[in-house]
Amino acid sequence: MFIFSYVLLMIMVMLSVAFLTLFERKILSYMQCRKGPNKLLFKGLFQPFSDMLKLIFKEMFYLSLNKMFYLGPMFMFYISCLLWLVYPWIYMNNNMMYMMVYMLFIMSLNVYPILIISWISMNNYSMMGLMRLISQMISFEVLIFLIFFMFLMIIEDFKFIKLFIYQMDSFFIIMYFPLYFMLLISLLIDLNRVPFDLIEGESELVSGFNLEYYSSLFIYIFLSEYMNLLFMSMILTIFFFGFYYWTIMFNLFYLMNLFLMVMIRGVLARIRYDCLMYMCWMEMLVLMLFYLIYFYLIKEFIMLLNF
Amino acid sequence: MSKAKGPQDLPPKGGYIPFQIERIKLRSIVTGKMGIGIFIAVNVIGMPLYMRTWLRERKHLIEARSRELATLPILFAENDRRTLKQLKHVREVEADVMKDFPYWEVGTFFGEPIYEDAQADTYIKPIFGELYVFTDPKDRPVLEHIHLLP
Repeated sequence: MFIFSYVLLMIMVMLSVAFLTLFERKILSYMQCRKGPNKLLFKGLFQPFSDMLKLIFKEMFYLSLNKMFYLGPMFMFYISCLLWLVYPWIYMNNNMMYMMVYMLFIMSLNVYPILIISWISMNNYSMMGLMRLISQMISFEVLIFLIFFMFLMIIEDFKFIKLFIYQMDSFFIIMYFPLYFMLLISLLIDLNRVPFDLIEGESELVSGFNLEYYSSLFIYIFLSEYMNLLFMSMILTIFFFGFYYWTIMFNLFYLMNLFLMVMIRGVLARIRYDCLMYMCWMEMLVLMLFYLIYFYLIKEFIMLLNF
Repeated sequence: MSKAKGPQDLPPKGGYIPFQIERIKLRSIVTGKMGIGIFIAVNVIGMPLYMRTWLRERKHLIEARSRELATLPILFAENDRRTLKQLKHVREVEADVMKDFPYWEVGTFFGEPIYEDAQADTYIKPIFGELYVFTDPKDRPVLEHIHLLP
């Protein structure tokens, strides 16, 4: 039963990935004063399926004889699927005790398939993309961990259900709004999206780490990236808005976060690489550490007050 | 030349509106200093609320722990009772199985006790194999090993 519901969830997520691409294209097109896909069948609603069919039926040949060439993207996709185990929907309520630790573990594991993919491509441009991507992802892994550590301090537990309990009085978006922006920035970096998609700078690099991938193997990379995007939107909604999974408000705020993440792509320009690194190590990290110390003192004060 | 299917994307009726070339100055509704102010205000109002929730959860935690402590003697007693019943059952089955065997005494090895220096009526906690020696493996309660399953 568990496996059946998990497979059902994965199918739903992949379907939503298909429509997320259409969503993104439509929003971007209207932000740039043009019409997006609006022809296929009903107002361009079936455009993602057409794209998918195009990708599947494209000619495929392996550029590398190493098996890791086609296992790497599958590994990436597999890790994204594992990440979605965190989502306890109504048919699969696996409220694991150390859910937060599990999530952090899988999120830090996300770097390795990229490493495999770009190394096995045997291409200088892929290697350059790899170096940029890995350094930025690992730098911001520290920040993401500290932010989640702050949440662990707030709720004093590893379960997600405590997040809902602690947000009954006031949402964390109001109480800890600096954390929201920090987490948004670090998640965008983790997802390699604009304004931090430095692996895809057109003038310097061609296409980042997935340069040698196309047709059906590219589907895995693409799906994994967009599944992560959906997941991060879910995480933001749970952590900061505190609605239960089955409410309509959860869905609304989920879409709001998704819209925000897509909209940033249409608004902001790419930032410089040294600025990014400076922002990580000199500004955000210091700010986060000060915030942690401040919150620790507050908790100490509360404990002194009550015991 | 084939005709295009469906409606074409034509310009709107009065033509396109002229392009916006002048620079639009960004509206900054919340500045950095205001952000610090909001942060202080939110913390002053929010931390008592957080303290209330924290205390409530603390009470729940203490309640759950005392609940466990209160039920623990009953659970231990039930455990002992079940063990004794099982031991009695094992003795009965052993007597039944070995009734045709000559010079066999139940609970001993041909009259020789397991522990030489222990008194005859001393209770010694049975090991796993002793307790379940005449039991079908399928009869074991599932709750004993369910925590090992995924």
